[in-house]
Amino acid sequence: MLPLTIFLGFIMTYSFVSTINISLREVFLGYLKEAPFVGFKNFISVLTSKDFWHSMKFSLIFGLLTTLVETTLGFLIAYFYYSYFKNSRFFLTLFILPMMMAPSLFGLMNRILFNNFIGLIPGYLYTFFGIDIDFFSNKNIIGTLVLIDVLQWTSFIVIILYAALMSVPVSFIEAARIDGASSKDILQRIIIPYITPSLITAAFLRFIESFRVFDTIYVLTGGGPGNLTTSVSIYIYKMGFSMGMQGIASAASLILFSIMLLPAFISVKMIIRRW
Amino acid sequence: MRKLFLLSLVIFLVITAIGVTKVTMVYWPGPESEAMQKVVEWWNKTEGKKMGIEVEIINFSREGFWTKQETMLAAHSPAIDIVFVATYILGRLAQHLVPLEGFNLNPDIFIASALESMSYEGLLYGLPMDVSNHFLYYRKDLMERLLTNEDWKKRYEELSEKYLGKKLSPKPPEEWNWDDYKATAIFFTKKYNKESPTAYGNVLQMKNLVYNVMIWNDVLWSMGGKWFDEKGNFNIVTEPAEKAALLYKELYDMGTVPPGVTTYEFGEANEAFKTGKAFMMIQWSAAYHILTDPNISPLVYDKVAIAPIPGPKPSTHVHSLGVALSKYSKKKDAALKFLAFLSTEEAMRMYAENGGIPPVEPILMSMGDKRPEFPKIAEHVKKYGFVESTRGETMSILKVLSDELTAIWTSQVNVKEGLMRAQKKVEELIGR
Repeated sequence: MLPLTIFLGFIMTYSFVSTINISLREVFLGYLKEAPFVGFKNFISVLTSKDFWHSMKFSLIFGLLTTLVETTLGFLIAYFYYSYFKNSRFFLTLFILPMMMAPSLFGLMNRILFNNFIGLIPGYLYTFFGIDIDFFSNKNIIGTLVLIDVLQWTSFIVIILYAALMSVPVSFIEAARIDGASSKDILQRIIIPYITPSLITAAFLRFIESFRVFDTIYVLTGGGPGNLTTSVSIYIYKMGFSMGMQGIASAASLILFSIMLLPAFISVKMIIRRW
Repeated sequence: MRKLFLLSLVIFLVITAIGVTKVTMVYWPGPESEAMQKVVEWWNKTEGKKMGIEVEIINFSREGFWTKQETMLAAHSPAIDIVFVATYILGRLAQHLVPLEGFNLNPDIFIASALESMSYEGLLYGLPMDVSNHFLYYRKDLMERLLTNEDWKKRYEELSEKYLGKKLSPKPPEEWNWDDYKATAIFFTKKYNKESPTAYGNVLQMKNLVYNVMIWNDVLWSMGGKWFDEKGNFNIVTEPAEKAALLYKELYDMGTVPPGVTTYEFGEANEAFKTGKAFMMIQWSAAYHILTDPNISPLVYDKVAIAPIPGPKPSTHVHSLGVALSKYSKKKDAALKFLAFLSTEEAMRMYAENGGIPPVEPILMSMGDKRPEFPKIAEHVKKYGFVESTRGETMSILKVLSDELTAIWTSQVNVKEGLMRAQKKVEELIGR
C-alpha cells in the first residue's frame, strides 16, 4: 500500500508542479524549453476571456441539470428496484451496461441512434407517434446532450443509492410499521434521512463529472456551434492542443481546480454534519 | 534431440530478430491505412525481407489523431519512425521532422501542387500519398429532369424570382454561380416546393470542425477571397469572406439544409445524400466510391454526378496526406529505404489499387475504369486546386475560423462581428 501511495503521490505532485511551471510561461506545444517566463499573464488572459467564462457557464448549467435529473431519476429507479426486485441481479446488471462503455464510444453510438435520417429513435418516434424531431438541431442540441448523459450515468446513481437502501436497517422499518407509519412516512422520515450522505456523495460525484464533461460532447458537437456547447474541459483542450497554447491551458486548469474546491468543501461539510 | 531442436529454434529466432530492423509508421485509420497495409504487407514479404527491414503500421484513432501524434513528437519519442502528415499541419510538425533530401520526386509524375503542399520553407518534408479535394455531388437523374421538364423549369423560375429577387433558369451545375446553387437548393427543398422529390435541396457540413472550414474555404476562394493579402498579412474581414459566410447562413436560415447540420461532418452528410433526403452537397472526393457503391448506397449509387464547386471562380481546397521521417527515430536509414520505395510509381500504383488516391497523374488517369473519379480528381486538382497555407499556425487558424463561422451561421454573432473576432484571434496567434 505504501509504495503505491508514494508512487501516486509522486505522479500527482510532479503533474501539479509541472502545470504550475507551464502556466507561468508562454508555452507553445512542443516548445517548452524556449518558453519565456511571463508571470501571471496567462491567468489574467483566462480570467478576462469571455470564452472561458462562457464555457464555465455552460459547464455549470450542464452539470446542475444532469445532476438534478440523474439524482432524481436514479433515486426513483433505485427505490423501485429495492421495493420490487430486491433479490434480482439480472436487471441491475443490464441496467448498468451503458456505464461500462467509454463515454466517447457512447457518444458516437448515439450520434447514429439519434441521426434524423438513419437513427432508430427518430425513426420510431415518427412511425409510431408521428413526431418529427431533429435531436441535433440548434434548439434541441443541449437537451440531447443532457439526455445522452442521463442515459449513460443514471445507473451510477442507481448503484450507489441501491447500496445505501440495502444498508437501511430493516428493524427501523419494521418498527415504524408496527407503530402505524405509512409507506410515505417511512420513506420521508427513515429512508431518505438515512441515505442522504450517499445521496449527497452520489450527486457531488456526478456533478464533478458532468461539470468537466469532454468526450461525449466533443464527438457530437466539437463544442459548437460557435461555443454553444463548449464545456470548460473542451475550452482547455482547444487552447492547449488545437491552438497549442499550453501556458493558457495550464492556467485555465489551475483556475478550474481552485474553483472546484468550493463544491468539494461544501459537500464534505454537508456529509460530516449529517453524520 | 528435442532439446537440440528447441535450442536451434531459439537461436534462429534471436538471429532473425537481431537481423531485422523494425520500422514503425503511424497512419490515419480508414481507406488510407487499409491501402497502406497492403503495400506494407507486400514490402515485408519481398523488398523488406531482402533488406532485413520490417514495417509495422500503428493506427491511432481518427478522433484526436493529430493531438496524439504531436504529443509523442513533443516528447521526442523514438517509438515512431515514420510520421503521418498533412498539408495543414506540416508547418507545425516540421520542427520534429527531417527534410527528405535526395528525394528527386519527378514533377512530371507527381502533381506539382501536391509536392508544394508537402514542402515547408522550401524543403520537402513529406512524401505525398493521398490527395484530397472537393466536388459538388448532385443527383443527375433529378438534374436531368429539371433541365428538360417544362413544369419544373417554370416552378424553378418562380421560386428564384420570389426568393432571390431575380428570375433564373436551370443550368447544368458546371455552369453555376452561387445564385444558381441557391435557386436549385430552394427548388429541391420540400418546404418551398411540395413537388420536390427530396426533403432538402442541399446538405452542408456545419459542425465546429477544422475539416468543415476547408470546405467553406472553397466558397471563399470561389468568390475571389483568400486568407492572406498580397503583403502576406492575414485578412478575413473582406467582402468575399462576408459573402461566403452569409451564403451558408442564408441556406441554413431558409431551411434548405437538415436542421441538425450544425453537428454534421463527412458521415452525416453522406447519409443525408445517400438516403435520398438531399439533392446535392459539397463533399470530399473520398465520398465518391461510397456513394456509387450499390451495396453501401443502394438508393442513389447510379444517380450520382460530380461537378466543380460553383463560381464565379470555381475553386477546390487541396491537401495532401503523406508520410515523413521523425527526427527522433533511431532507425532513420531503414525508414528512408522504405520511404524511397514508397516514392516509386510501383508502390504508388499498389497504393491506388487498394483504395488510396496518390497524387500521381499517370496513375490517376489510367485507373479511370476502376475508379471513375480518379481522372476527375487529377483534373480538378490541377485546374481548380488551392492550398490555404502550410505555415505552422494553419491548424489553429482553421480552429479559430470554425469557432467563429459556426457562431455566425447559428446567429450567435453577426457576420461582421464574427469575422472581426476571427481576425483579432488570428493576429494574436500569429504575433506570438
